Order: sequence, then structure tokens, then C-alpha cells
Amino acid sequence: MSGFDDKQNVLIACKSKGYLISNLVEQFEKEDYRITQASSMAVMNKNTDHINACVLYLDEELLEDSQLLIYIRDKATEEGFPLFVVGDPTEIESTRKIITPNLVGREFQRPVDIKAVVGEVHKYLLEHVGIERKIILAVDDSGVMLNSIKNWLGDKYQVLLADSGLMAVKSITITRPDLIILDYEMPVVDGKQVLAMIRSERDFADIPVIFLTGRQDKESIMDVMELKPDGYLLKTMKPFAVRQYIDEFFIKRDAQLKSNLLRKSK
Amino acid sequence: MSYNAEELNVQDGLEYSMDNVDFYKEILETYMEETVDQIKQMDMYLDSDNMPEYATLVHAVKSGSRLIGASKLGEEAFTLEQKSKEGDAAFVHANHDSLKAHVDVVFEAIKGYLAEIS
Repeated sequence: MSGFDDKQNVLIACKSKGYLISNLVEQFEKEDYRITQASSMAVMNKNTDHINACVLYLDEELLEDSQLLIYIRDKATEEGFPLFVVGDPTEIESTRKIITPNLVGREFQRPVDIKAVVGEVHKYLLEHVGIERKIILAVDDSGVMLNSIKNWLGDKYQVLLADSGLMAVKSITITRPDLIILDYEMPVVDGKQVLAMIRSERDFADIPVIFLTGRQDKESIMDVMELKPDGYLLKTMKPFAVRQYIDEFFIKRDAQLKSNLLRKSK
Repeated sequence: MSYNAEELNVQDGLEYSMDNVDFYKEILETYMEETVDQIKQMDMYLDSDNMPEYATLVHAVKSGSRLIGASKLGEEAFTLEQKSKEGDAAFVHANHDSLKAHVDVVFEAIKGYLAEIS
């Protein structure tokens, strides 16, 4: 079910059910995370969602379930999500036989302040898991424009920058973006040519492209739209309007992808 | 105020910098470096009457100027962009130096603003 909204999935591995666990779940949900509680292998096997982080809420019973811990360790290694370990110093120490330190984002020794734990995990994910954010490639020959776009969108999206059409094409082959914001007027290879290059490559043809144009007259906009971009932004738009446009673009696109998938599965 | 506020509307520039003064300072410095380079290239294209390339560069000067709050310079660059796109080399030759002088005035305003806030 994941992937169609902005929510990230946090897995909480725990055997106990108590006030602290309910509070942990509640605090994560307040931060807009989707929580799965994993108390056994059976739950893990049913879970098909992509995991963004896992909290190991240690107690004696969980420490005895080495099969579950090994499974989580292997999944974290494979999918690259961080583990957050909550426990007594001796409990944390005993996980080290299975959980390698490179997988651990943070350790929290009891007694813990649940709100602070969630805050720390949230902060860690914001700082380290940028890859989960949508990737936008901004292409413009002006450094002022590029840096401004990064400033406007960088807290929510991973923004890559290319200062020429050729660099844009090179960048796409290294990292496939979820969206390209493309300047229409650039020297050497202009936006129109970059769009044609992208559309002619089978692997990249479906990457959405939004033109960035300084031209506001009807005729110019018609020219731009004839190239069938996925939208256009005016360089005179204020930052909040650009952010709103991009946010709405992704909401619409994700809804469209979801509906296409549902149609295919019927 | 120790800078020419008519040439540099800091309020507008800060709005495009999401009210982040440190970012605005960085953008002003990038703008100055980039514009010096663009003007050099424009001089070169003007010498060879290459109006399409001149138009692309003056278009970038226009956009950059608007983003930092130098909209008066942005307007002058816009006129030259229009004329160069029309291929009116005579107009561009006659007005290019005035654009360069205007850029210097904006640079002075930027330096004044940066000195004021440092």
C-alpha cells in the first residue's frame, strides 16, 4: 500500500505490549509515519511494505528470538534502512552478536523519553534518508536560479542541479530523477533539445518534465506546450507558488500511477 | 541606508530567498560572479553580431536580476533580450554599454547592502 503517499514506514520490533509501546506508536503517528508492529516472523512475512526504519524495542523475549533479529538484520542490509535500538545497556550489548554497528542509526538506553526517541529518529531520517525523498533535477544555465530552486524545494525534495543541457543528460543517466525542471532558454543545448533527447531514450522517456520559462505571452506558452511537457513554471512565480505547484504535481502524478496500477491488477 | 534601494529592492530579493538573509548574501555573491562572466561573453557575441547567443545570455541576466530584487536592471535586460531576438543588432550595439553601466550601479548597491549587514 505504500508509495502512493508521503508517509514513511517504521517497523517496531517488540514482544511486549504496554503503555510505552502504545506511546511510541502514537508519537510516530503524530509525526506522520505509518507503523507496523512486528512481534514474530509471521508478521514480518506478511509485511510487503518498503521499510524506512526499524526500532528494536528490546526485552528478554525479543533477544531470545534470534531468528526475528537475524531476519530484520538481513532485511536492513538488503534494503538499506537504519535500525534504532532501545534497551538496557546489557540488552544493547547482547544484540551486537547479531546486529552489526554499521546498521545502527542510534541507540537509546533506558530509561527513555519516548517523545525524544521519536524526535531523534525523525531527525536522523531527515538527515540521512534523503534518498527516500523524491528527486528533482533542476536544469538552468543560471547559478542564481539553480540555487534559488534548491532553496525553495530542498527541505522537502532531493534537488540535483545541472547548469547545462548536456550536464542534465549526463546526470539523468547516473541518477534517474522523479521530475525534471528544465529551463527553456539555455545556450548550446536548449530546453527543447534536452526534452527531445529525454523523450527519445526508452528508459527515460516517461520521466516528467516541467519547463521553466521567463516568457509569459500566450504565443510563447503555446510554443512551450506544443512540446508536451508535463507542465510549466514561470520564472516570475514566487517561491511559495512554485512549491505549491510541485507538491500538487506529485500528488496528482502519484494518484495517476496508483490508478494505473489498480487498473492493471484487475 | 548606505545602498541604492531603488536599484536593489532587498524586500523583493529576500522574498525569493525565502527570507533567509544568509542565503540571500550567498545568492548576491553568486549573482555578481555570474554576471561578470555573462557580460564578458555578451561583449564577445556582440563583436561577432551573434544575436541569438547574446539573447540567451541577456535573458539569464534578466532572470538573475529579478531574483535578487534588481528589477529595474531586469527590465533593461528584457528590452535588450527582445531586441536581440528580433535581430536588431544596431539597437543592441547602441544600448549594451548602458546595460553594463547599469550592472555596475547594481553591483555598487549590492556591495553597499552587504557592508551594511556585515
